[in-house]
Amino acid sequence: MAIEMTQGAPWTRKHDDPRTSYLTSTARILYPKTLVDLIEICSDGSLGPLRAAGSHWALSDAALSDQTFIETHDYGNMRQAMGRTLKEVVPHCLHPDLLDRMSDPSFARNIGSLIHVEAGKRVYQLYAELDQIDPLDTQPPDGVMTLGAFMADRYRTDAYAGPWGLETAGNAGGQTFVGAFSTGTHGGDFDCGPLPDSVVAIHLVADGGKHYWIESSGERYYPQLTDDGLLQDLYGRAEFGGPDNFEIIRTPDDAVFRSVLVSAGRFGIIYSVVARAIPQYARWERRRLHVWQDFKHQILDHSGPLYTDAAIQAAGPSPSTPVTGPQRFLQVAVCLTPHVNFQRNLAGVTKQWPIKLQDVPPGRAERVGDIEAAFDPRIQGPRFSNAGRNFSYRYDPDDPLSGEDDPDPIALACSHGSFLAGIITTAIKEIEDFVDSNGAAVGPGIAGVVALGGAGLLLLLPALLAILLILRELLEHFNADDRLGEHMENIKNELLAPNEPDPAQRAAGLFAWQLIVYLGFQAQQSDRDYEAIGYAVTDQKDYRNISCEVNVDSVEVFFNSLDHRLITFVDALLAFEIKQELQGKACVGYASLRFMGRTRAKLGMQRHRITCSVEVACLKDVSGGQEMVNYAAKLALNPNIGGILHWGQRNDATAADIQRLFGDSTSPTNGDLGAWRSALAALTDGGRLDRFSSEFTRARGLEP
Amino acid sequence: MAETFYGPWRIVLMSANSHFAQQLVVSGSDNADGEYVIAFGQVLDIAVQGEQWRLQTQFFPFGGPAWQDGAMRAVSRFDLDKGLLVQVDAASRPPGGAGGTFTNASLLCSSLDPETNPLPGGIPPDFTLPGE
Repeated sequence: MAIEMTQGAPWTRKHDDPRTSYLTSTARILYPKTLVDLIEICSDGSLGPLRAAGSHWALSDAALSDQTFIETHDYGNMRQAMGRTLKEVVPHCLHPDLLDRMSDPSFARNIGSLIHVEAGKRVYQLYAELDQIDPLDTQPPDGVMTLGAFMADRYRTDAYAGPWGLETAGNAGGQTFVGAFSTGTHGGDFDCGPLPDSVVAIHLVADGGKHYWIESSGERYYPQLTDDGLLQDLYGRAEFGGPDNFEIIRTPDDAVFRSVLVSAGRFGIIYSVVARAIPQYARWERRRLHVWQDFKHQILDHSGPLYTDAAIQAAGPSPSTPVTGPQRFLQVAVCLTPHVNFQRNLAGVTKQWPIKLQDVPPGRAERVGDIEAAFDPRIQGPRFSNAGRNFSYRYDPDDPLSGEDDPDPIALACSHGSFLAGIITTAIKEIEDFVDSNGAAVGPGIAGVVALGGAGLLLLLPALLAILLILRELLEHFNADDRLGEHMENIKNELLAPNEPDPAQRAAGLFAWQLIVYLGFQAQQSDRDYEAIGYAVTDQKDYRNISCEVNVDSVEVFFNSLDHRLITFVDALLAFEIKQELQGKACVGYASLRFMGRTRAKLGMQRHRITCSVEVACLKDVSGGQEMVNYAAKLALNPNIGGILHWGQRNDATAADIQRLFGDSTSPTNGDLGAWRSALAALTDGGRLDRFSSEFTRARGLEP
Repeated sequence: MAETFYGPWRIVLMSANSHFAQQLVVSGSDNADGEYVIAFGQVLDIAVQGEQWRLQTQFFPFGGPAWQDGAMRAVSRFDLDKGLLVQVDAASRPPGGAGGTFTNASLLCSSLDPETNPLPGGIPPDFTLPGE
């Protein structure tokens, strides 16, 4: 076998503890480069159980193999990724009648374009490539025209020159596109389904080496996406195992397509995918800091202001280009640490609207940048100066159409591991003033953490003096090389010391802790209004961050946004945090609610017209964080709560849970789970071809 | 339609006010299946166990001839001390139909599953300052 391979190598995930590997040793890891490689791997029974992985961003065990790991994008970025953008199918195998329909410029405007990419392409690379203007070269060096050039050549239209954008995206672009959609990844756009709903066709290699072109049917690509004969000519070639080794699956009910879309790798290895792209656009974002308890019940009202707000407000800032649609995005980030004497929780509410693309879109230079190399062999595509390599986009408040030269101080601090110092300095100053004035000088942070109507905090003045000494000492010994989680664990241990015998000292420590978190959350979720090209708004990932996002754990739970149990679930987390703070533990993290439309995927988590996801993330270094995530995961699976867990994040669901959530109580063969199992049976010879079965899929009943 | 519950719960009658006779029917439980009178002044406090069981309120129309399922509205909430609660409000009318109030009976169901509220309670310190 010429495919590059390692044996006995460790295997880990992006968010695991960097000091150790998740698996210290693996039987083998394979690094395929082509479709031929994938077919060879899946045909070779001696390799045993198989499983594909991409960016290693998932927090679930979905990518774990019982034996052989297959990397579509080397986690270490040392080897060639399966990252090509393909041109053989789009446009050259598209159905002729569809091409005729696409020649009408209104098709590109209203429905969009198509892009065909290999499985190892990361999301940020995809949006960067989509954002380029196609030169419409009808005589390209490789002899294969792009869709844009093809349409210009045959139909004399430049409607497919681009730029294009993804209809929706998650809030980070580092995952491979395939890894993201096949676990049901989503953004916060409630006017459309999640990422899998941008997918139009999937090229799958199954156990045994047979490969399938699985295509969505429907009006959008009437009469059908591809031409069977052309596709057979392309993929039925001898190098791919011949015509009998290739099958096209296209059914009116899309049962197989909708099953493979979100399947956690159980059907095989996805080689490539055709996705829909829409004309490039910009977003206008408004974020305001509120109090969770003041507005939480508005979540249950889809016609209320959380979902139907106006982009332009009287006397407020407004976008530079016209707003082109109603509000489409909603996110609520809830601070788990209470304030107002344990009665309230801060919550940042973020809304977005689509706006017309600016002539020079803000965020394009910062998030994608220039083409540094027309073809980088490692990623098998153009290399951009800033795609996946920069801080998250931050606008300049003095010039909202421009990016700020200096990144956001928190992002900068995260990349250097010491942003807390500023927050602690502010907390020290406020406590100092409060103590020195004998309780008369109440800074804005302290005013937020207390409630009025008593004198409890005044009784803690002597203890706060002692806490000041602790905080000053912490500041003096700050080590910029430590991770954020390690800093927070130190601070928490000093302030929430459960073994401190003096109750006043314990209370004062807890007060200082809540003050620090309050100030930090306020800084992170402060008011902002800005506009930028779509991906610069959605992709909030700070790719230079080396501190804040390692050794994290998170769980994401999905609810019908009209179900009161959604609110109950969040309130349970807030109650848990209060109780664990009284025991000397704390969760440095948040609960982030995002809203999205229903998915077509049989096992997609987005099962309602507007589904709400609650993501609970923590730094594992801080004792209390893991406990919070454990509690959230357990509570979510309590059938009285009825949450569904994300396939790509921590997922402790059992087969019984999956049956309850996706199945039909009358029979295991009914319902979405039954349809999914039938599709799996069809592609695995009734389950005989089972090398993509894994401990993860068996435990969850993801078997035929 | 009956409300489905999972695991151990305590059901307490909070209020009852109806011209019709009312009752609570528990089914599918391990220990508490049966009919329980819902009436003004009636004490109803039962612990129900079972993997999956159902709760339904019923009313007896004037002239009968039999008990009929009543309309119900269940809303959950989480209380810092009491944990997971579901308040079931009932109406002495058949289920379905838009509008209408649910004021003929109110039941408070408290989850007895320790995992829904795993940490012991405590008295939070007093972070208050003088003022209004």
